[in-house]
Amino acid sequence: MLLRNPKFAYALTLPVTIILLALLIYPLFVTLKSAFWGDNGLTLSHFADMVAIDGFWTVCRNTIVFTAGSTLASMFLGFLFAYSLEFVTLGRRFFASILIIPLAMMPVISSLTFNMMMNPALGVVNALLKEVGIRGPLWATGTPTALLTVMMVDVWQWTPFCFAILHAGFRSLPSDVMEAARIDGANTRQELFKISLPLLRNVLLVTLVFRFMEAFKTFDVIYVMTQGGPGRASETMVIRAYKEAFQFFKPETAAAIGVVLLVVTLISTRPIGRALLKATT
Amino acid sequence: MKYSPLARLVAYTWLIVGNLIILAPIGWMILQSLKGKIDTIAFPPKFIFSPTLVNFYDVLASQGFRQAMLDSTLIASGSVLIGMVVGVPFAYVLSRSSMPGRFELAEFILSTKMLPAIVVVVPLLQIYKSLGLLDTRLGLVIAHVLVVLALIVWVTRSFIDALPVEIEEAAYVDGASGLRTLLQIVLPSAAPGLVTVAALAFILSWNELFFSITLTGTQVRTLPVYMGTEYVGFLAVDWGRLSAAGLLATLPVVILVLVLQKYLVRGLSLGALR
Repeated sequence: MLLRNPKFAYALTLPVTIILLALLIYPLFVTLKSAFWGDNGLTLSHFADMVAIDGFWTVCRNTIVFTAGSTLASMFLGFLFAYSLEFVTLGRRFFASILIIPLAMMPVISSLTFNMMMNPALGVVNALLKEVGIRGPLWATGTPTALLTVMMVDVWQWTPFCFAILHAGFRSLPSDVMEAARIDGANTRQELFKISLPLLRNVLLVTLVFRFMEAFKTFDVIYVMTQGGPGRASETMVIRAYKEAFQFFKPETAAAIGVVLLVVTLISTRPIGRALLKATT
Repeated sequence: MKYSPLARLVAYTWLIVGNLIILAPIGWMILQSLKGKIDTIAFPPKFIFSPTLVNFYDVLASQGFRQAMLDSTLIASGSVLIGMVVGVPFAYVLSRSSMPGRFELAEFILSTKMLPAIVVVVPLLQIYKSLGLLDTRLGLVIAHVLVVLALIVWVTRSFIDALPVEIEEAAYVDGASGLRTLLQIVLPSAAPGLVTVAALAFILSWNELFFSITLTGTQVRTLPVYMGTEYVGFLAVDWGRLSAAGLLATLPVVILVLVLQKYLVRGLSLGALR
């Protein structure tokens, strides 16, 4: 172990500690205080206000549907891309390069572009659907389709994330093991389920948890495409908290939602911290 | 590699279809950006038209876009710079010291990446108001340090972990101070990794919307905020200019990502996978 001088080590960590105290820990305490503190001391009334929000359970349902749906869909598609690339030798790099482009796209821009393409009246998607005789839906502007539409855009944005990690995972599988399996007569399916998937367990787990966290706190896509609307059709907890704080000027209710988000985050962050520490120590 | 021809055919078909879906919005943006005003909203949408560069001229000539480009560049550079200056030494400690509590701190940094920003933004807004940081570049730079810090610390750590510790030990034996070892031995050998980390962090800040929209308003407008407000009116969306501006704002980052492809996974998984 190097860095035997503890004073030096502390000095190097000091700036980060100060930044975290000022930008994270202090604001967190303020949020906790405004969530639990009322006119007469400790109170849960802000949480009661939160539950009493018109359409609160719809917002909860939307959050669950969006988070789970987006996460699973992009994991599945990303995996499918990564696995397909294993069958390909010619053009592998080319395909891989194209597949990661959305990672670089500003979510604001991809959301605006999808809004343009899926404009119910003038968009190219509904025009093409019309060509094949389908009457296109209202997409982001229709109550039944709004949530699904923002999820589709989120999946477009984040499938490349899952793909990139899983692709690297597939590439790092030990070739001698794969070779041995093939010599022993394993078929393609056995190779996938008996060898690749078990070896990729940790990679899959890290990807899943990271992806889950990003989906859970999604703001950009929904904010730009629908602002949670029409009505509450695509409103999630994060969007609702934003509205409570900045449109309805009820910071206490926003803080109460924030506490709920915080608890979910803390519970789901633990495995990542563990995985990261294990992977690197 | 011996897969059946059928399996390969299926794989290729899926990859081509998938790539087309991935590329479709970008392709449509390019088409729209090259159309005149009437053509962008023509119905049915036009695939064949006489191309014009007028949207690009307009966007590049507009004061607002240039200002947003400048704001975004300054804010991303500033936050990456500060993030690196404080984050890299921390990553070094994480990698090379046995200081108690360092992992707890590191996990705490991780939570900045995981936490929905809405949880801290209201108190932050009040602090900013009292310090006069609201709607200033400096204020947003500081907030974006929070956005990039986890990435910088964890990915830098994975790069430093990969360096041979023997050289640093030799330097120590020869009497070099800790600071000198860090500055003259660790930093130069980690340089390629540090450039990668800085570039990835730059992208994070460049694309960030939430803090930008809540902590700045009229004086400072980064590209995501500008894009979301300028070309989207209540009645009409200027699709041609929107597409042109979008392409101009995206292109540098796409190039960066393609150049960094090799290190991307390390960045995406915060150094857990490489």
